[in-house]
Amino acid sequence: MSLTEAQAEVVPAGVEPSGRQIQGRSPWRLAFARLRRDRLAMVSLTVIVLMVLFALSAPLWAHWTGHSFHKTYPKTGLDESGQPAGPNGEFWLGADSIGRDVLVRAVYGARVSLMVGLAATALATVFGVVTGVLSGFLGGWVDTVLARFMDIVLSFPYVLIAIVIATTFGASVPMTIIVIAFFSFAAMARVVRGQVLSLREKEFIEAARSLGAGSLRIMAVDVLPNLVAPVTVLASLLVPQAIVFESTLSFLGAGVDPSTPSWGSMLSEAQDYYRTAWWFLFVPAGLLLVTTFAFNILGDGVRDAFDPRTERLIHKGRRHK
Amino acid sequence: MSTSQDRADTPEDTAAGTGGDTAAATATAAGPAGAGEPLLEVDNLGKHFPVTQGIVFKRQIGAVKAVDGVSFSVRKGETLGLVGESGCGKTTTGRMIMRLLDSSFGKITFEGRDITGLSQGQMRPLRRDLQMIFQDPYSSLNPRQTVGAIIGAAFKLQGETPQQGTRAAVQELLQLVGLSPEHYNRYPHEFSGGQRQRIGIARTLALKPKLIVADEPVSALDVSVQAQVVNLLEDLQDELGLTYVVIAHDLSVVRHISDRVAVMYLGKIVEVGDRNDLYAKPMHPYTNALLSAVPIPDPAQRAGRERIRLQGDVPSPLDPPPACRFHTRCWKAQDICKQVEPPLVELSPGHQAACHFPENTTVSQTDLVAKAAVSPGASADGAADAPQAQE
Repeated sequence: MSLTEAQAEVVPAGVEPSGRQIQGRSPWRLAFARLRRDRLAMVSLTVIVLMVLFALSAPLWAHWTGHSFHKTYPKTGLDESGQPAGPNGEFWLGADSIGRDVLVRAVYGARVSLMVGLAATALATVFGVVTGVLSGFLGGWVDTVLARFMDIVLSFPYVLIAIVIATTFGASVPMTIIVIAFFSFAAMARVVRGQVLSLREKEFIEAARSLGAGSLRIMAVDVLPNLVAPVTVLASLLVPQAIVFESTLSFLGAGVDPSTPSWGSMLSEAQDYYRTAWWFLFVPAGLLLVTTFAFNILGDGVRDAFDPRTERLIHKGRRHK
Repeated sequence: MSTSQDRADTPEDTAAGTGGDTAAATATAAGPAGAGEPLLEVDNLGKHFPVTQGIVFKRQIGAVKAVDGVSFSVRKGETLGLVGESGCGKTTTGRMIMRLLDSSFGKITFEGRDITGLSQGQMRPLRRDLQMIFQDPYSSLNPRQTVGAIIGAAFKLQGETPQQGTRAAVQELLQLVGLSPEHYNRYPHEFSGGQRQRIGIARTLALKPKLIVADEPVSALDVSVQAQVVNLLEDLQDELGLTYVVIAHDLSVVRHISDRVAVMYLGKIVEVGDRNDLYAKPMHPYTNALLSAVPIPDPAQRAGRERIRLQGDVPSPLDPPPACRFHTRCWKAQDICKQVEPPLVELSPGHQAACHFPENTTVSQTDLVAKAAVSPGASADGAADAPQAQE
C-alpha cells in the first residue's frame, strides 16, 4: 500500500504533459549551458579562435606581404642610418632591427607559442591525471613515492633547470614542450590527487565495489568522469602559464632555437630598440598579453560554469534586467 | 546455487574449521522465531585499525579496536537490527560482512560458505546474493551517471543480461521502488533525498540478493520520508523474501523494522534478543540507558518513567576499558566488572546479554559470576558454554 502511495506521489512529477521521453541534463551539459551565458568567456573564446586562425594562416600572410619570416630585407626594412622602418605599406607592422617583417614573424611566432602552450598543457594534463589518479586511488607506498616526487618537482627552480637543459641538449620546440610539461604536470597531479582522495571515500565507489567492480573499472568509470570539471578548469588555466613560460624561456634564450620566431625571442631582440622602434616590442607583447588574458578569462568562466552556485547568480542578474 | 544451498543445510561441516563457531549456531537454534536456517553467521569478528606515526617510515603505535569480537547469526527472511552509539563499530561490522573491509580476525559464513578469506575476484559472483544499502543518498550515487546507468551497472558488472533487456529491467526496478520509468535518463542531482535513496535501493535489488546490509538506510532522510523508505523496505521483504541486517542508531526505526535486535557498545555486542523481548525487558544496563533515552509522546506515561543519564563519554576505542567495557559508566559496576569480562550468555530463551548483573531476569547474579569465573576466556567461548550449562 505504501508502494502505491509513493507512486501516486512521485509519478506525476516525472511525466511531462506531452508524454515524451524525459532526457536528463548531465552536469557536463549544464556547465556548458552556463558557459554559453557567460558573455566575457564567450568573447575570450572568440579571441582565442581568432588567434588560432591567425596562427594557421601564417603562410597566407607571408604570401600577402611577400616577406618570408626568416629572410632579412635590409634595403627596404632599414633606413640609411640602419634604423628599422616603421609600419608602412611594405612592412604593415614595421621591420625589426635586421630588416625582417615583424608581422610575418609575429604570425609564425603565434604558431610556436600556441602549439607549445597547448601541447605542453595536453602532455602535462595526461601525465598529471594518470599520476594523480594512481597516487590518490591506490594509496600506500605508490602514493608516498608519487606525492614526494610531485613535491620535489614543484620545489625545483624551474627556470634555472630549463636553462641548464637547453644548454645541454640544445634548444628546440619539442624540448621546450617537454620541459614545460614536466614542470606543469605536478600542479595538475596534486589537484587530481586531492580530488581522488575525496572521491575515494564517496559511497558510490563502495557501491560499485559491492556490485563487483574492480579497481581499474572504478578508476575509469567512477573516478575519471568526476575529474572532468577540475581538470578542465586547471588545464584552461595552465595554457596561458605555458605560453608565458615558453616566452620566458625564449626571452632568456633557453626556449625554442633562435632561428624559429617566437613571441618570447622577438621580445628579447626588441628590448634594446623599444625607444626608437616601439612596434618591434609592442606587436609580440600585445599578442602575448591578449592571448594569455583571453585564456585566463575563459579559464575563470569554465571554473564558474562548473560551480553550481554561479547559476543562481546568473539567474538573479537576468531577473533584474 | 544448489551446492551452496546444500551446504547451508549442514552448518556443522563448515563449523568444523574453528572451535568457537558453535557460538553463533547455538544462538540461532535457541531463537524464538525458529523457522529458517542461518543465512549469515558471524563469529568472533573483529577489526583493529592500526594507528601509525611518522611520515615516511610509519611505525604502529596502537590500534583502534573498532570491532572487537562480535558473533551473531541471521536466519533467512528475518531482519536483524544492529544498534549502538556513533563509533561503536556498527558500520565497520556491516562493511566487513560485505567484504568491503578486510577483517582483522574472526569468521564470516554466508550460506554455509566461509567468505572471510575470499579475494575480491572470488567475491564477485557472491555479490549477487550480498548487497548493501548505503547511508548517504547524496554520496552513494555517481553524479556523472544517469539513473539508468547507475542501476544498469549491476547487470553489467555481473555480466548478466535480463530477459526483457537491461533498460526494461531497470525500469521495472524503478517502478518497484516507487519511482517512474521516465526517470531512466535523469541524473541524481535532479532528485530529492528520498528519491535518491529509492534509486540506491533499486540498484541493490537489481541482482535479487538474498541478504541486504542496510547501513543507516533512513538516517539521512526527513522523518516523513523515513517512514516511506522503511515501509518500502518491509514491503520488499515480503514480496521478495529478503533478509536484512539493518544498522541504525534510531531505536524506534530499529524496533519497527527488526525481528531481532543486537545492541553494540565499543566494538562488542552487549545484548541480543527478540525485538519485543528486548524492548520490554532489557537486561543489559546499557540497553536500559539507551531505551530510557527514547522520547515518549504521551506525557502521562512519561511522568512515571525513570530516565537514566549516563555519566561521561564513550571511552576511546584506542584504549578500551578492561573486562566489561561499560563499567566506567555503569551504575551497577562492581569490582568483578573491572576484572572479568562478562560473556554473552543466554539468560532467557533467545535473549542473550553480556553482564554480571543483568536486569529483568531470574538468573541469579552469583550463578553468572561463578560461571564467568570458570570460563573467563573470550566472550564467544563463554556464549557457547553457557546455554549448555543451563540445560
